[in-house]
Amino acid sequence: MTERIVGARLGYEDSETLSRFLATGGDQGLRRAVLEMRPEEVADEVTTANLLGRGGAGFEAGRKWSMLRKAPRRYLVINGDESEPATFKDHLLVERDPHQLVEGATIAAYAIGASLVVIYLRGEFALGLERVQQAINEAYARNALGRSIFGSSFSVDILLQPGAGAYICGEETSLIESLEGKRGFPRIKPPYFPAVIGLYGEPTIVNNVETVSNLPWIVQHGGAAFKALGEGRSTGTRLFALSGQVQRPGPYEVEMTKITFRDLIYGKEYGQGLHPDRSLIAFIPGGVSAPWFFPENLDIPLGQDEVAKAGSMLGSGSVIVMDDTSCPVRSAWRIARFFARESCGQCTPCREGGAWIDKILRRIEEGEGREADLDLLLDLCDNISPGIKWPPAQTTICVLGPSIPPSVSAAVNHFRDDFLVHIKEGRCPHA
Amino acid sequence: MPDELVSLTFDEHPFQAQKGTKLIDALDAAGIHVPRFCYHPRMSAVGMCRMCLVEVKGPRGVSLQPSCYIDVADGMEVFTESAAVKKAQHGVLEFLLANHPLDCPVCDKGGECPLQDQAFAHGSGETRFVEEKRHYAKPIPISRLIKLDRERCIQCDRCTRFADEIAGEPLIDFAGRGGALRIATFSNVDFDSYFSGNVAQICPVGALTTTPYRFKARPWDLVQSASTCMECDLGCQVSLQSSQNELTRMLGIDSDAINHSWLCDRGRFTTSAVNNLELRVARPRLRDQSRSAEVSWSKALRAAALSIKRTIDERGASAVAIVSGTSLSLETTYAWAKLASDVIRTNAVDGAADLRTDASLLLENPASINQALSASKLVLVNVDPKNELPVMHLRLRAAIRAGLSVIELNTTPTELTPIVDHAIALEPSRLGQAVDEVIAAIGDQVDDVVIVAGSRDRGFGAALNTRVLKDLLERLPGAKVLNGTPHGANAVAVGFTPNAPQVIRSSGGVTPSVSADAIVAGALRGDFGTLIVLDSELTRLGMSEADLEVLGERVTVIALSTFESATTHSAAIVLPLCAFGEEQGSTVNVEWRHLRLGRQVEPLGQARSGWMIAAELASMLGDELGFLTLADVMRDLNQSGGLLAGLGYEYFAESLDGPLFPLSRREEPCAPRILDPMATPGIASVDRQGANFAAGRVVEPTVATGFALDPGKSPQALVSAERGTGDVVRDPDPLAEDEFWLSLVPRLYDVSPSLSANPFLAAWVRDPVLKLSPLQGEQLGLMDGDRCRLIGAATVELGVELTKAFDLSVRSDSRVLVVDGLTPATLSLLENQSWIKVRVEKINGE
Repeated sequence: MTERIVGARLGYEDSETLSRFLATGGDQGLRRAVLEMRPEEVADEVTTANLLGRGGAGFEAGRKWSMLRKAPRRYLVINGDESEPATFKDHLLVERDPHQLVEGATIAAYAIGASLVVIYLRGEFALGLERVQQAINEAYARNALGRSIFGSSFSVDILLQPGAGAYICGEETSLIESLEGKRGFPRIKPPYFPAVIGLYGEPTIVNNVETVSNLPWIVQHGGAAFKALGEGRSTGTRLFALSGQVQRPGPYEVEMTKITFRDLIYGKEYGQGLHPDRSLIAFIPGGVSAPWFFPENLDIPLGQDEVAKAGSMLGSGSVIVMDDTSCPVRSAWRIARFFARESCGQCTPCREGGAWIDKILRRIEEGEGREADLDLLLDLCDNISPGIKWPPAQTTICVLGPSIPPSVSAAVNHFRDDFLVHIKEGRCPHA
Repeated sequence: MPDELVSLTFDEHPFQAQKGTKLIDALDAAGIHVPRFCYHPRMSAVGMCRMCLVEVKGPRGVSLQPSCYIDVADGMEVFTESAAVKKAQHGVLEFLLANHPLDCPVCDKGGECPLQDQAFAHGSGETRFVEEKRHYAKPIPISRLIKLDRERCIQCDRCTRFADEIAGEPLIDFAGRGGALRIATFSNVDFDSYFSGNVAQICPVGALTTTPYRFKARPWDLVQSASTCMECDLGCQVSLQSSQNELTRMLGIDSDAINHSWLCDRGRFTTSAVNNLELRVARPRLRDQSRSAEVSWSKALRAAALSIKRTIDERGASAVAIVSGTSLSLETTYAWAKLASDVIRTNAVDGAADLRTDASLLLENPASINQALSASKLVLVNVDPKNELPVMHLRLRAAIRAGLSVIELNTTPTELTPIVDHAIALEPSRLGQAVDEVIAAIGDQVDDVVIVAGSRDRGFGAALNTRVLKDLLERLPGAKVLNGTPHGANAVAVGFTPNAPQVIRSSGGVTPSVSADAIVAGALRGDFGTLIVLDSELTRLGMSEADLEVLGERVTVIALSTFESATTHSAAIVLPLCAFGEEQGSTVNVEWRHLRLGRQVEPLGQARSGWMIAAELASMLGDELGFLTLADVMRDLNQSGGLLAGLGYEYFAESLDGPLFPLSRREEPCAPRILDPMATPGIASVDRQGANFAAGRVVEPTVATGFALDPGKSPQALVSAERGTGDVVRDPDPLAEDEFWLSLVPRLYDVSPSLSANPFLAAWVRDPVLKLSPLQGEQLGLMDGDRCRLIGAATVELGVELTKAFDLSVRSDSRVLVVDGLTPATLSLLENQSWIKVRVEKINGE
């Protein structure tokens, strides 16, 4: 059994309650931080821990914090807009351990000197919104939040903001625009980071729910203890959302790099393998914007660099399994359709290219494809993400557009025969 | 450091560019054209269309970057021709064309369309898009003037950016997302903006079209000339375009000195009034008893001359009065000034009826528009740029955004009030205090102050207005002045209004000394035998329609007019004037810049230029002005001793913006501009079709030769005197408890002959209202939508409009009541006084 950090309470039926939280070490990290440590010391622990952002890009949280521009007003935004297909790890943390999230956010605010924290939760998380709000209210009630937290000189407020139903608002600059009451268009770079110009023009840190949920543990146990878990740049544990055609899909917290995708998908403690008489054709290691892996990649460990070296990413931590009953054309189409529908429409390649690719894949899946469509698909992908390489180049403003080519190119290149069957037979053989 | 240069390479050739320059502008300057759609040089960059991607080598290696969005940097290596750049641009173009309808043959933009041009130049010629294109209901009228075709839209954000950033009226925005991203208005609110036509001009495709021009012509059939909009005296530079001897449209030209390519709708769509033949005066008319009959020019002119002569003989020359309140051409104004001064010899002359300040103060130390917008402090005095000089409002907004500090001194809040640094209330009872507040607000930044001196509030008398300006100038000796009155600049420049410096050099000429208000009042009393109205409507000058009926019994009215109006209907003699676009000539604007007027169509019927009529009347009166051609008028002006000494058409050949007068002010060079087809779409494409842009230029070689220019010539000593009632301005009596000062302010769409004749703009004219802040409403017991009676010199019934914005900007103890909109009825509230007191009564409805 690997060490559990963010998911430590998830085994309890009443994990979301304050009593369970307090009975299982709740508030101890925050108390220690605000009463015994200086903000820099907290930040140092996080840097020592080498905590990588859990939102998708995997940027070192400590380094991100260190880029924060000096200013009298700084903001912390917690990104809980998890809404990509097959992602459900933040969902779980928000609903099942909201107090840990609030504690982690408060610690982060202390470390970076934020005067206000906004937790931006996906609007569809009705229960999560209710529970996080209750956790915030209870934190105020016991002085874990608000003026002079636990008698220290540190004060901070947390606001809860529901999203309005746009996946793009999970992109940090777009999230900030949305918070400012504007249309959720990602900001164009430069400036490259909200740490320079963020919410209301002030320096802002945007951290993922899981990232800050790690903080109470790190403060309590020290950054070195966190770093002792995992290997290389991939330290601590991560919550993986295993889904698709496995016997036992679900969230699994695992120590990074210690197990492989084969372990995760087939291991007894985890996915327990495919359904009888099925074989694996592909899996996506880090959410639908990541390049696909195939059976030959099963023995890659669940580590940031290890996956990157193989040409994909751990991304949002959602692992999607496809067996031989699933249609790669349909899978690619469903993914492309998702991104096309969620494109904000701001820039041309994503707005027009995404919608076009969606239409072509749908046509092929419905038996109206042409062989020329395959090269066309790849060329359109190339016009969104030149070279279709990894990490992706882009003609777009943000990375939503370039999230389409990995799946489409993987499907076209690796399952070309399936496409040709669709085209020749005029139907989907899996339907 | 504004002058710091950075060195970089474009396609491996070294270049230098000023720090802070956008890469795309630096590339343009280097002669490298990068295709673009969303970039507009007068608006902030958004980097949305992705058409201008170039490869930039930076610390992280070579990457594709939008050249409109990044600034040049030292050591930057830029590649615009690489395979990756071409592939990306080709890809973006294909994406833009994917859902774009193939309706170029019926699209108004066809022939001058940047997307079409790009597709022709770089497109593949064959589409790979075999899917169903996007469909929307179309066209959607988003206002009375603008129609939206969402299928053609390429989501470049130009129109929405214009509405929000430039006009400050975010009435259109994106709706939806992804492929469904589309332009929309907000529920129940149309895109009703004074500036809506600009979005059609800057739309890079045919998605936004103007109702008046829609399906009117094909761009390649249009001929055009450079001209100047005459709807106000700002002098917006336009391309006036026509097809088959009919004006089709006006586009703004990007004049760095004046309008930055923007136009207001009133100016842009003025061509529709010119084309409304039913309301144009086409032939001379004489009224016999109650019947009006068309007559020949010679008969009409004889009748006019006879009336003038009889008045002179019977009652003396000063019983002939000449009045005008609109913008006549410089040549016409000068010819009439000379006729009045040397031939008729009357002092009852005012060609700037709207001017309510001492003309001489405007000329002592004049500022240009650009100087005003870069002043250390700009003081707006009794001027509402949005309603009086609309494009100035846009320029001011942009300048304020860029850091201009503005002090507003107005009787009534304007739309600038929320964004100026100091808004100071101008009230008759606190003039001294108001001036003190302005001086305090300026503080020690006195070096480079510019005052915009307007004539906005009709209830705030000319004498008070002049006194405020004088006080300010006394306290700020170095301050420059920019004229802020929307009409009358030509009259001031040639001395065709009281107190303006005289430029006519004949000996014994008569100087104007009776203001328009006094002329109108005198005419009603029968003080004059003949009243000549130059292209104006007497009901705009303070007469009621009932007054017009009795006026004819006391005075012979000679109306020179382009449009039919109450004045032409009652005048004894009606002479048809050429409309805008029907005659060549020139004009000066508020900054005394000499600008061309282009002739694009034949005059309607027998309409003639005003200067010709003056010349013919002179000869019928037994004298000669010496004007046989336009060049003769210009020659006379060239040799005049006033502001315009050295004037000539030859400057127009040098640059699009004419020179500033007096010529000693030529410190702001006006270099010829490169016409940017994306900033001003239409111009370049039409040019390519063989319609020479220079074709319409006013170039008269006979004038250009033989006249020495003397750029150093200083203006004649300027006459300084108080306009109106003289130097002594009585302090106002205190208000009784139920009394208020009347503020009567103009709107852009106040009823006027050219508006009534405009089928597309006439509907914008609204009834005047009593505009109150909610607090004032509460104090007076008036609610939004109530009707009230305003009792002053006359009693007027008005609707009540509560304006929330007023709550922020109207002082809580304000004793000023604002009537918004000039009509004969509201003008009747005025009496010949420096301030007007009114009482208000609620009308209890049934």
